[in-house]
Amino acid sequence: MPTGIAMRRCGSCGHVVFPPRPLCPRCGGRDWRRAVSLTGVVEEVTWRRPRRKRMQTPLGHWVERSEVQLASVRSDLGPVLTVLAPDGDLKPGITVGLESEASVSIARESAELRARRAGARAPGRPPADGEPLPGEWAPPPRAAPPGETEVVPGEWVPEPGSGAAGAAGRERAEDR
Amino acid sequence: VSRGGAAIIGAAESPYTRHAPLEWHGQALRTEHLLADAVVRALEDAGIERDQVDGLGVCSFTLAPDHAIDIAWRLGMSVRWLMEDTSGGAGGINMLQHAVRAVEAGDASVIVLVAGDKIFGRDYETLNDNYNRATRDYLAVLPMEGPNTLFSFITQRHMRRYGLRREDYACVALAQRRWAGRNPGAVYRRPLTLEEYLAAPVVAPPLHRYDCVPPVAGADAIVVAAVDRRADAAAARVRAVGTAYDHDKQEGDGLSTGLSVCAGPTWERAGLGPEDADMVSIYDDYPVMVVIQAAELGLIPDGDPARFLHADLWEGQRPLNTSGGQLSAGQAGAGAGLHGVVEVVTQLRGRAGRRQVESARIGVSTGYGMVLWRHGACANVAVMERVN
Repeated sequence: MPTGIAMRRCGSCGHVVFPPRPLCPRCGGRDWRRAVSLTGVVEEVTWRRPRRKRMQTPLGHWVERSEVQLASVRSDLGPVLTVLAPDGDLKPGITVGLESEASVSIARESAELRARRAGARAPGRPPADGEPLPGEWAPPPRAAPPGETEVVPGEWVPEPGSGAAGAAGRERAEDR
Repeated sequence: VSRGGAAIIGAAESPYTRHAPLEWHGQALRTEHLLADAVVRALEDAGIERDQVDGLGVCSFTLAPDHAIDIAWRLGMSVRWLMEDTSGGAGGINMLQHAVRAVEAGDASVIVLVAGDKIFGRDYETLNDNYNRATRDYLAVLPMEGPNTLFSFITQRHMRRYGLRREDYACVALAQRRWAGRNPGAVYRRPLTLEEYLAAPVVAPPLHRYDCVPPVAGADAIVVAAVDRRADAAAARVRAVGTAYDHDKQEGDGLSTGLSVCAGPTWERAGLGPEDADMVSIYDDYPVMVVIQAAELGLIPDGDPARFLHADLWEGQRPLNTSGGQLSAGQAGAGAGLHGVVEVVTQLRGRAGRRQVESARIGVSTGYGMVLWRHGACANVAVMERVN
């Protein structure tokens, strides 16, 4: 199974964003929870010729190719991603598995998904009745009671009463 | 304080070059030389002395480590109104919005707005890869090489929605090249055929070479002052400016720009409608964006983009991007955000030479840009009217 792409779900309204940002575009909330998108649907694909064919990347296997496939994928959680398609076999409309390696978003049509698309029985245990498919959106948990608010590590949250000043230098790298 | 409103009384372009000279008057050519050249030409065009200028606005991707005040210093301008804009293809009209108010309020009496860049090779890659943090962190790690990939996706969406083919978008490239043939300032002037367009090298399917702008070195400048500053020469009075930024929070499909929000109110404030436009400059980073913005401006009232492309643009020779647009004249980085305004002013003042649109009275220019994540987040429009 793909490892998924870590996104942020707004703890107030459930809206999911990627890349992460300080305030929810929908409701203005700022207590973010981690949400992992495992699959998506390919909307468009295109091909590019890499500028530097021998460029060292986290995904060394495509650098020798003369062309690489890129795709626009609507993730199961909502955000649309521009992804690398290392296998070069994506087509609009198919479901792909999502993963991320060194902040490169990657989409592959997994054997399981391919088999499901072909109508064959997917290998492994079939999903039980009512069991959500991997990464399927589920209603957000209700706000945790005071003292138990889950804060995503790495997200800057102002200390009470600290104001905007003091933010400089404290903002840490976003979750990749 | 100007009660009659503000007008653009001069406009000029430092000639675009595909392969910029290395030297400029004995110095290594830098962006500031192009900006200076455009400013000098615009002041000449306006008949204004440098010492009369008391406001300066600058938009460029390649000023660092300098800022607008450095440009004021390097151009020898003492000013009381200063702004630096960073919104690229929307920067020109964004500055215009502020400059008009400054002139009306009396904060400045003569403002020069200048935008341009010299970006080549390695600089271009660096700019593309560091366009913003989201791009640097998540997109530059892909072999994207700039925004072509994203606009390939947008073009495919548009093709699906309207049932268009490459032959349809070709009308934009071919019609603009036909105008460019009458503009000595355009870098590509030779007529383009449909066969050449279709057979051009692939960039990011369905985008081929002639769907993408040729980067050039160059700069554009305009002079904004009270309408009655120079009653003896034609000027382009600014009837209305409208802007909409981050209108869809990057969560839409890119088939609408901020013009979908601001075009209607802008026409209303101008007291005009799309049918009044004698000529139009639409920000043309890609043909698909010309079609989208034309519809949002109200230029495709029947909602049939194929008819607009073939009957209006190609056969009807509708005056749209009469300089040849960026697709044929070239994209001088942030200069692209003023290029269309300069062309409108040139047309309205009757100085467009062989491409002059006869008795052009109302001209419109749009700006579009700043691809934050999936599509441009900034859009704006200026409606101008010939006076004097």
